[in-house]
Amino acid sequence: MTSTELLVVGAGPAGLATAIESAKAGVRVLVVDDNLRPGGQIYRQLPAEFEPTLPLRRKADFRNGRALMAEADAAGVELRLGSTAWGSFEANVMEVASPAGPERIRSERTVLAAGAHDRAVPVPGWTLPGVFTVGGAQALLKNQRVLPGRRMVIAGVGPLLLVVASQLSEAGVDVVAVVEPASRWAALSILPALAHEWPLLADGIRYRTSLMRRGVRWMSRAVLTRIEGDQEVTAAIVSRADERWRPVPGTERRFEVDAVALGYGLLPSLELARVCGCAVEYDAGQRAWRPIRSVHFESTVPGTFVVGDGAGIAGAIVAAQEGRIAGLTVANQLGRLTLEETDRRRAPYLNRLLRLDRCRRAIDRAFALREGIFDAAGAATIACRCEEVSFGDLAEAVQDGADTPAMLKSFTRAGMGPCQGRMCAASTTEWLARRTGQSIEALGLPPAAPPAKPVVSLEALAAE
Amino acid sequence: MGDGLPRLPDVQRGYDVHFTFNGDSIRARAGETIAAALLAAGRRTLRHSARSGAPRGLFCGMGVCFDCVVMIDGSECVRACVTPAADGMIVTSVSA
Repeated sequence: MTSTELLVVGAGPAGLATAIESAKAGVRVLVVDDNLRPGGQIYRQLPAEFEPTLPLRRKADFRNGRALMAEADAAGVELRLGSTAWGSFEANVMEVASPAGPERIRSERTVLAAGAHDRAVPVPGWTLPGVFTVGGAQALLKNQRVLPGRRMVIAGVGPLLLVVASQLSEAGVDVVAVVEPASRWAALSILPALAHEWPLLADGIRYRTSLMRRGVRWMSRAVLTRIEGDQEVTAAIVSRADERWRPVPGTERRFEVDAVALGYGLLPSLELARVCGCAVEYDAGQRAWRPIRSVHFESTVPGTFVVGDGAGIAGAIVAAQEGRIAGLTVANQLGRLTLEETDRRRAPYLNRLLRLDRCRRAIDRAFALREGIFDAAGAATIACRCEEVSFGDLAEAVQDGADTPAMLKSFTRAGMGPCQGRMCAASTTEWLARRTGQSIEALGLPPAAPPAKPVVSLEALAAE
Repeated sequence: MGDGLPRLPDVQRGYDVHFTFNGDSIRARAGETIAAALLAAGRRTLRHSARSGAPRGLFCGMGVCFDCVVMIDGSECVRACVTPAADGMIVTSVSA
């Protein structure tokens, strides 16, 4: 068994910031990350074998990532990549699948910084090759420098939609339409809150003008209703959307494309936190569950902290502040910093968070999902991609008496595949809530069980 | 199988790496994931699903959805989106 003082899961902005602050205060820190390169989705560095040209090296995400890694390195943080933390059966002991084999890591404190993934809303055709999540299309572009398609429709809502549409267009993808059900005023309503965060504001304006300059069509109050193709994507069907974001009949438009990116914001990756026993609460503003945390981000499990997008979507800057605060708090709990010194060091990060919170709430409000978005799926549409469970199958289960997410899961196997519900649980619960007239909060979550990521079932899959 | 998707010219990629996908020879560059190399070679369908035989490809691109699972060297299932291609690798589709 490996031992360390602080174990951090996740080497994105939240995890690295945590590690840096603790290590600088003299705490022995080990960071594990599932990926082969550190940085998380936002600051992920190119493969070691790639030599970027100067303009690419200068891009902000790569630069910020390099700076953070240099800081972690200088602070003496130990990093283990390609290592998946998947569960915990004993307090303060994490089960990790690493390239060298299974490993158990004992730590005095644990900080989970697992990040987020796209919220994919099912539409007919969304399992066809050539359909990506918005984050997936971006990862391919950013980390591999390969285009996800030549002609694309990008559909969804939220800040990432704008960023990725502009990045794909700049990289040479013919983006024939960006389809967003929110009204054109939604983005403008954020502007006052962004006044104190001018770099974010500047980024937003830069992305918008870049799209306008390239003549990319931005369709507000519109919704992707169907993706067509026999074996692979050949077309995207878009309708006008009403105020509830339902497709308006008779307004269909067909775009011939070879790829589609879809994403309705992000969802926190809660699986590991739940497996570790952290209690969660429902955040109606984000339409998502999040771990319950103290002001310094300690979860309901003493000694286990949850930081960054994995605790509620707020982006990389908030993630970094949360990480710094958690890292300092750990150092204090382990006796490396006096409370006075800890408070002094935490203050600037807490103040920054207060200011950022205004932006976060404005963004949540502007892009809050409306239920019509879940109307595009029909009975034949796949709800659970892994187990190929359709909404028709779910309807049958409800008729047979399934009225909670846990029952729906055990009746149909929806959410039992290798993605463990990351791609379907949120939308099947939305569907169930509407079907049964219950609130998502009342429906709750199915119980969490290890592994939080399928390290074992992949072998079983291979045996099939 | 369509045309290959473009590799952007703003990085110098690693040396050539050759692997096979369902018996066809694929040229990749060191550092590329299996999925990226296959997309660049015009191969977007990575497998067919177990129940309905529907084609599947890369979806989440970050190791979360497991749609891009492929078998390497007949023994190990990996996510094509996060696994680098290696010289001599034998990649085959799984039905899962």
